[in-house]
Amino acid sequence: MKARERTAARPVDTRPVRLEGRRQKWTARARTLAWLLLVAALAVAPFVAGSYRTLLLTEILIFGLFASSFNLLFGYTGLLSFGHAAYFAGGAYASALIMVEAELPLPAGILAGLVGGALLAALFGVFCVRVNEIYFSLLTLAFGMLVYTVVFQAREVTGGSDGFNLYELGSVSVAGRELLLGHPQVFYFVTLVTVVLGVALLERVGSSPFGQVLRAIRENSERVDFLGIPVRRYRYKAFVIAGAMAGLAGGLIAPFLRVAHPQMSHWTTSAEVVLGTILGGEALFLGPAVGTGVLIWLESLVTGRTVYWPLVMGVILLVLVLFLPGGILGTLTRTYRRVRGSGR
Amino acid sequence: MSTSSFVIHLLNAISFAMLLFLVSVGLNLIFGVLGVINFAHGALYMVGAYAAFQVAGAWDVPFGVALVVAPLAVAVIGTVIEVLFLRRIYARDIAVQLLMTFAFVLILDDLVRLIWGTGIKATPRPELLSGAVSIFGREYPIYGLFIIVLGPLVAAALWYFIERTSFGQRVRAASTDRHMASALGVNVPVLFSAVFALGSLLAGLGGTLAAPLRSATPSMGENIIILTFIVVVVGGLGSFPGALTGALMLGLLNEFAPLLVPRSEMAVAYALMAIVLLIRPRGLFPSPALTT
Amino acid sequence: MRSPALLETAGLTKHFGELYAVDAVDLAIREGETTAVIGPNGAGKTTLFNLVTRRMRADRGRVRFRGTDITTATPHAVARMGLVRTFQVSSVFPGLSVQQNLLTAVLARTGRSGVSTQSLERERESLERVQELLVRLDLRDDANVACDELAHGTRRRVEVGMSLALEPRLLLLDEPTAGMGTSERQATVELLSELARRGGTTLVLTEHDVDLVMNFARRIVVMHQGGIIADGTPEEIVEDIEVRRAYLGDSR
Repeated sequence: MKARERTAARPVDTRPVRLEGRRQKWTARARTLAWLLLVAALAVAPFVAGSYRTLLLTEILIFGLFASSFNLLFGYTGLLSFGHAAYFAGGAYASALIMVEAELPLPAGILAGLVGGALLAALFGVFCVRVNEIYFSLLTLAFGMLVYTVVFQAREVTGGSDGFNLYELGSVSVAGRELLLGHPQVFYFVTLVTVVLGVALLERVGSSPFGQVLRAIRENSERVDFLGIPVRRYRYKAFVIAGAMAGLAGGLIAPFLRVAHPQMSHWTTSAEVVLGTILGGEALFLGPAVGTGVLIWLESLVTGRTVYWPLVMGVILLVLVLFLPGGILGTLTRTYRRVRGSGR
Repeated sequence: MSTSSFVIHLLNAISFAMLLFLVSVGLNLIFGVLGVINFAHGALYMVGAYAAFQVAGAWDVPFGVALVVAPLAVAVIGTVIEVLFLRRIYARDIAVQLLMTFAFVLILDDLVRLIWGTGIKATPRPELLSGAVSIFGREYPIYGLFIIVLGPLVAAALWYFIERTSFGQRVRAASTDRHMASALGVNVPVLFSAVFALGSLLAGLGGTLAAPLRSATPSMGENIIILTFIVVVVGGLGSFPGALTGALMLGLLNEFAPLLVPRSEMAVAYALMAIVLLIRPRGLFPSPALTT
Repeated sequence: MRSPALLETAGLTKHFGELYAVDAVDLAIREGETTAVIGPNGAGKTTLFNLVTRRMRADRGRVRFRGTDITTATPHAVARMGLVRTFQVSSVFPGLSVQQNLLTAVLARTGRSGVSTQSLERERESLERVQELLVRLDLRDDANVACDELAHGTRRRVEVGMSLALEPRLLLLDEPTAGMGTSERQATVELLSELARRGGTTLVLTEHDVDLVMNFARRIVVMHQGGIIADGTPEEIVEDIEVRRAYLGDSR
């Protein structure tokens, strides 16, 4: 702890404060470079990996966007939602409906996902952002399960427990070549572009003045209120943006799996992003996406051998909560800083 | 609707409300004292139902034994969770506490699947309570009446326990200010374990009573926890009268709403919650500490 | 009539059960009239602030600020109108750096925090304003330190800094020097005096230490058991207090 006590006897220092040191500038450049490298690596990946790995990577990307959207609420605003899957599923059903019933092409379906998620969040958000902490978690869970109940029961529209199936994704012609959108590699690139756009948007919003206010709300919402900022309105906006981005991820998952399924809105799906976020670390922007990616990868290894995946998830969560606060990335950066700090 | 069918529906509503009350009041007790929302409360209810099935169904021991053994077994599980895990994180963020109890939802749900499989497990009604009585010329199962009687009895016992015993006095002190209580000589860690055990016992009792009524299924925990959350949000977290009021409202809606519009019970429950929250964001009986 | 009151309460009342924390208080604060509200613990000073800034709902009575009735306004609306407060226990953003704390307040003032993809680093004007505040409050060395790692008195200055960032018309300070050492106390009083001299912001503060406020408050309001029992210039109050000490043996 660097508690400092200072006396007034000291002459007042009037030199301007350097808010952006050279190191910060370097860090900013390094960050941009790291982002570009990551996207480049992801763009090359499907040519190196086989079909199975490409499919797995597609799923990881989609859930990465979903988890990042969740973290706008949790990591930034301090609101722990246990029903974020509702907006993911909302997006999935919206895209499936638009593509099958209105027979619109894939991009329209993906966009419909975004709109669907946003609309649903705009509706439930009215209630959820009115309440604090625990009540927020309870309410989001309850509304999430409302969506589950509705899609499960409205068999005529959603197909009930069978889900809503879509089969044809159509094709696009690129440079005179006809590409089937359903082809794993082609769909991978559709996903990559969408996810990069979505994640970039979330990152920009997070580092904007708006994001700064969200972090302040997380730290002390009463203080924010007494600064003259309407906390509820900010929470609501964050809630709708998070819902829209979860919907965008849902708009990808339905065409990817060729089905929109009630399970997508179930609380266990919400639990996966909560868990992934904790696993990766909510304090870092990419933490939730990385954590969820690791989780999906683990799941692909484990489900082949055991059907008791929730049990494994529960134990992982327990261990994380007890021993690894800050998640994988959080712990890594802390260790890195400690090692570097001691070397000085 | 004829008078007789109205009365039958009313009895159904109240007996379901009593089940909901037992579970909700346990959740509220734990929240009121420990400040923790136990997401695994529904899972404990489910474990109670399976334990009752194991004793009264599989082993064919009289139901009266299950009525004692199953809730106690759940209380033991609750104590283990509190002593070994939850206790370590009281100083941490509320979100962390929610997450830990959430981990136990996943673990308990899967353990139940592991032990009992995914099928429906029906527990026979106890012989003594298996008959029916005639109400306005209609048959009504005694078991339903049994639950209706048991609910208020448990409520009264709880009230007496919290308001009139020295233990209850310490519970109330700890719920208002745990540091103050500790300074006054209350052994807070032991008290917390006891309260968590008692709350778990109530969830287990709810599950045990539900077993002969609605059978044990792997999804019963999540169903009840959602309803319980609605009850406590409507009634107010930490409030006993709130739990009772919320449970009765939900019980009545659950029974009567589908008569007017088929399959509308959940929609109406959510509508109730939304309306209450819009008018009173902290529920009908808002309180900073445990209230009986 | 003299200049219209900036803040005006009429019959303001708040009770907790049988206890009347604030009991039918009529108080008018005029522009530029630096006022200290003093009184023993539990006299109702903080509750009065809470009612005025809408942290609590009044049971009875009205509050007007700059001619507008704010009795039922939201806290953020009240703050946006220029009625700003600090808290008895410093209310800052513990996990954020001092700089970020101040920046949040500056953004609240400028209103430049709508949903956008604009990077924070591009907010040149706001960042310059933060720099000014850091210098003015002697917080430059701690600019990048998280608030929960600061000493008590420093954290208090951060909160004052946030309030100043809002450029309030009326600033209510709830025991601004609580928990500070003597020299730090003096520095804070100097800062507040300077602020009062500059004009633009009217100060009202609560304080335990009567001697501290005697020097720079132009008016002193004494509260006791929820009501105002004395109201006047420091000189008048000193006499009044002497009288009380003499007759009631009241040590304060």
